[in-house]
Amino acid sequence: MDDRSRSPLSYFTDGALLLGALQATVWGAVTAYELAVEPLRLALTLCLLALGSLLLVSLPKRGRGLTAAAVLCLWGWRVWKSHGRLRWGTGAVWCAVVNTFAQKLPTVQAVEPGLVLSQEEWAALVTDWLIVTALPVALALGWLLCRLRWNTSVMALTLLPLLPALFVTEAPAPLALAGLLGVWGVLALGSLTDGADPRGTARGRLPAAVAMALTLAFLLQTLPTTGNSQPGWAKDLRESVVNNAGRLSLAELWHWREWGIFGATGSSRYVDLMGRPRFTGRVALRVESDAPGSRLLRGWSSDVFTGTGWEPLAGEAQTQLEEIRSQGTEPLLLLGENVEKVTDRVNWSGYRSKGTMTVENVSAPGSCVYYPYGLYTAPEGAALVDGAHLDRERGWRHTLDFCPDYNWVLQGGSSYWRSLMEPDPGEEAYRAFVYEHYLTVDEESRQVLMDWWEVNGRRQTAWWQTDWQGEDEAGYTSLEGYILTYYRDGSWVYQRPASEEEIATFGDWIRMNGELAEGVISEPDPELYAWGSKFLHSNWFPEEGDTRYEDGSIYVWQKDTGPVSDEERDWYRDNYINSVTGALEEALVNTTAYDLNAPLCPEGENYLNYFLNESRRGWCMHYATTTALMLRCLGIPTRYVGGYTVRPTVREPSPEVHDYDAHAWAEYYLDGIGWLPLDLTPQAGYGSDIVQAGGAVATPTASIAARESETPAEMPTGPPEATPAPAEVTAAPTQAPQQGVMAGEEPGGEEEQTSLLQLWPVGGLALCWALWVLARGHRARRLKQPDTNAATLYAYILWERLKPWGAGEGEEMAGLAKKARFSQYTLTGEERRRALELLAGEVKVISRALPGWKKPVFRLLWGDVALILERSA
Amino acid sequence: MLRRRIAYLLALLGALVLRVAYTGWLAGVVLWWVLALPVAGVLAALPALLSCKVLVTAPKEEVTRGSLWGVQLTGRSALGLPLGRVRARVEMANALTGERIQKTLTWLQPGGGGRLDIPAPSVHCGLYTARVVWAWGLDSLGLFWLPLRRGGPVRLYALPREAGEELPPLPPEGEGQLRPRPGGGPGEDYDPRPYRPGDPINTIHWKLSAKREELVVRETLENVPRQLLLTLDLFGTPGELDRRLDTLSGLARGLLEAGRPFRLVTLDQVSRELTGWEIENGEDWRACLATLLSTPAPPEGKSVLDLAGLEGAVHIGGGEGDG
Repeated sequence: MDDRSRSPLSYFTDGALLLGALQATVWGAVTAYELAVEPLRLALTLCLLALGSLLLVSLPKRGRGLTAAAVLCLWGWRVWKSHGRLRWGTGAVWCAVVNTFAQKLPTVQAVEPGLVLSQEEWAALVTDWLIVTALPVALALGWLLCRLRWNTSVMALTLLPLLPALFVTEAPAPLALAGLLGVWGVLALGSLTDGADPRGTARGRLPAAVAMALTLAFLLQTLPTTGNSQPGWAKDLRESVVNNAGRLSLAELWHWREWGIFGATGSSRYVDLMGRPRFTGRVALRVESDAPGSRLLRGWSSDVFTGTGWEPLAGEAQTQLEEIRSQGTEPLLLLGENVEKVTDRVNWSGYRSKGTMTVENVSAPGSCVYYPYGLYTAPEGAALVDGAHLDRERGWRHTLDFCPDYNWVLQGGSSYWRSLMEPDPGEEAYRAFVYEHYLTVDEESRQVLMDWWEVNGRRQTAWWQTDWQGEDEAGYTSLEGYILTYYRDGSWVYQRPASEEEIATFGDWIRMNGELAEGVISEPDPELYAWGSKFLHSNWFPEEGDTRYEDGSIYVWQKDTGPVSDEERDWYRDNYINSVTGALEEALVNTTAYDLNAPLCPEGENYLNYFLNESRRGWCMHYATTTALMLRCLGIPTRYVGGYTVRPTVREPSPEVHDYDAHAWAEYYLDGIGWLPLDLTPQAGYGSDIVQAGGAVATPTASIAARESETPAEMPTGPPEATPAPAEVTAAPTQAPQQGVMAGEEPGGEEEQTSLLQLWPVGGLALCWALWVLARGHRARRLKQPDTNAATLYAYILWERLKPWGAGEGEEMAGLAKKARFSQYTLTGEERRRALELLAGEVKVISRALPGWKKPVFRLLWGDVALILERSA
Repeated sequence: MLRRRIAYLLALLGALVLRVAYTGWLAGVVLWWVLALPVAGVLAALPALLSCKVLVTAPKEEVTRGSLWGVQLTGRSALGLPLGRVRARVEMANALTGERIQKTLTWLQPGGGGRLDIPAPSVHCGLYTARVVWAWGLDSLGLFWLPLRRGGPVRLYALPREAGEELPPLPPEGEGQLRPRPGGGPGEDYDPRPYRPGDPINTIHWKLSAKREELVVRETLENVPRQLLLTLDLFGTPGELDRRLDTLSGLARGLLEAGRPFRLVTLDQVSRELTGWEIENGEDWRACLATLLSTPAPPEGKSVLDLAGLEGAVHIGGGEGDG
């Protein structure tokens, strides 16, 4: 660049950019690698370096070369003289870089310098090192920026030191990043005129700098500048790409359209209930386990029912959960962790407390680790996220330690569990969170479910009384004389006939606030009241112990006999849940059927109503949704879960899990224990052998603190006869029905056709492209044909076709065409070329004159004419 | 510009990929920065765009038809700010023949301003008006075209060549017509006529009145030199118009040099009314020529000779322009 084309303002703006680029690069590296430096000395020296570089590159040509050589020699001499000091500086910087990697990559170990120095001494060493290194960088930047004006090279050079940090997701400080982006932005905004008019560009850089400064200030003010802030769409896309990109194989590619992002069966936070699962038979997981028996491998869970699917909780709830988890509660692992704590106090009696399972993810979606219930701790390479799923951090194969027979411990019920455990301080907050978010059901679905439950779910016994149904009731069931009533606010009441002893010792089950006296006692304790500690039925009491509830007050004639114990409460709750789930399962078996070919819910229909009352057929997703929502209506926090079923046996401890083994079930929350699976999907024609495998899971329900028909060995203290019969129908973890699918049958032929039909736009485009290529080839052949007269005539025909686009009269072309057509003369090659030149020239003129969108269309249609001319030369 | 747009799209795609692959805050800032760059580009270019004016100038006001001439397209920012690209369309129209030429030009405008010379044809006579139809400037990033201010049109006369026409036979200068002198007065020639109320008493020819037994007045006559009349058909092809105007120009010069004022009459082809000019000197002739050159002349029209009362005029029209 000519010095005469530079003005004082050019020098100023170039210098400012050079300084900005140098400072931003160095400080970006310092903050990204967390280098300890002497900030003032470094900043001032960088200013001097920038100024020196500017002066050097501004020198006349002859002086510039000499001066640059001298400076570099001086620099080299300085490096040699202080190489010892620089060596330590290099070491310190290298340690900082390696430690940055070590923070993010577990395979990289952190290092420390071999020399023991104070913080200030290290800062001085690092600063010296940075200054020495920055000198050639400053010279290079000055040359590229001020002389060559190669803006792209400047951007690349300033980015280079930060690349290693960015590679491990370590970012520089916001201000350094803003400086870098500002410099890049100003360079980009002036690049159009930089080479042709440096003086003008220097002036133009002033408003560009203002615009960039305002933009960056606004961005830094409004956008987060700490931590991770990836939006949901980016996160999902990333997970999908990461999950699938690393496992490409020819076999998988064949099934690409059922793969990855688009419709793979398995598990997801976002569940679409309106479609049909598609199976390809591919292997999803490989499992090795030393604990035979059917298992549910849990993937993602979903929390909010939308009417047509499930989705996770919204952002605010997630933030609330993070705060609770920061207190140390890991509710999902309570099963395994708590089993660990109490294992010495449990009489295992031949049941297994320890098992190991290795799960290798072959092609299962979701970017999560599928694990069995009873997990003790998160395996290496995975982390518990959202209190719900195991996030895969690295690797595809994970070894999991779990308690195969955790149900055995749960048999004692919540109270038994509590008796073994020390209270968890964080559990209370988490329980409140669960009850706040996992009882929600929309009104339409609630109405459908309760109406259905009214007809199919409730049991009636002689003990059922009708004269005190209140508006707040959600439903109730009775079990051989015991009535369990549930209220819409989540409370429930367990009622049974009171014995004389009970009346004497437990009375009304409510701890009274205020003074107890004969007559009216008002303002019962709301908490205990909500947990079913009140007696409402006066008919069961002998006359002496009459107790009745009326208008918010409880009328007793008996003295307070003490509060309801936690054991009592838990026992009643366990029985309630037991009873409810048993009734629900029986109702589902009696009224619905498992069918993978069940009709899809039509658009606009209520999903639950269509399943329960119209089609009455469905697959695991229907049953899991119904279970989750029905239990919510009945006051039990529940959620939808997806994953796989696996059945390692003694003979086959390493089964393959295929995509048709995908399954969905529900999880419900038990106080003090955590989330337990509940699978009420009917077995689709299989016998009970599937349940009996291994023996350990032959419980009345898969996960409820089951009470066998005989009284469990470990029973909490409680009423001697208060042992409800187990649910009449056993519910076992059900494998995804394999009958039809294992035969290779793929349901939904219409989906195949739909997939092919979706290709028609691509086919149409391909056809248009082929026709376009053919047309251009035809035109080229006719213009280059050996018969010059015919070629010229064709050129004239094309000219005529250009007239609607604005072509002129073309007298010369017309003359050539007349000559070719009407005379006996054979046109020469020169004349044919002249015709082609005229045609190409006219195309060019028209192309330039056309406005807006017409130009590219015209170029697409006629752009080959100039090429034909060139190639015929 | 296409390359710039492709480059920006690639940068945007890269920022999106970074946003997906990178979970940290940096990716969000980079993505929004890339999205904000076009806005910053427009903002940075606003001072240059608002202060720039594209106008067309003509170095001469008159040229003889057929000679080389041109206009200059200039663009300059009052603030001395450059524009990466300026695109403008210039139109040059001949008022007489209706000829219209448009040229679109694109150039890089430095801060000191840019000038382009546009050669223009002056094959035919007429009043050429050159104007900037539209002008657009690129923003700093090179993505968007934004409008620029334009200057007004410029005019240039393409004058006819003065053909060396032989003057037609002219009536002697003194010869003219006797006509009543307005206001009367003494004179050698007079013409009796019947008295009209209002005639001065001293004009009554008493002797003749007595003879005729009616009042007769003596109207003084004066010798009015016969005015030379030129007629021109202002229609035809541009070539015909050129020839006629060349002839007219030659005649006009000759007559004025001979000191013979004349009258030029044409027929307005739109209103079908006669339009005339009294040409007594060069100034009158230039004004008349300016009007002629700026009057649209259709390819076909009605000849002025079709109107009565123009006998004896020197006619310039038809194929060869002979009267």
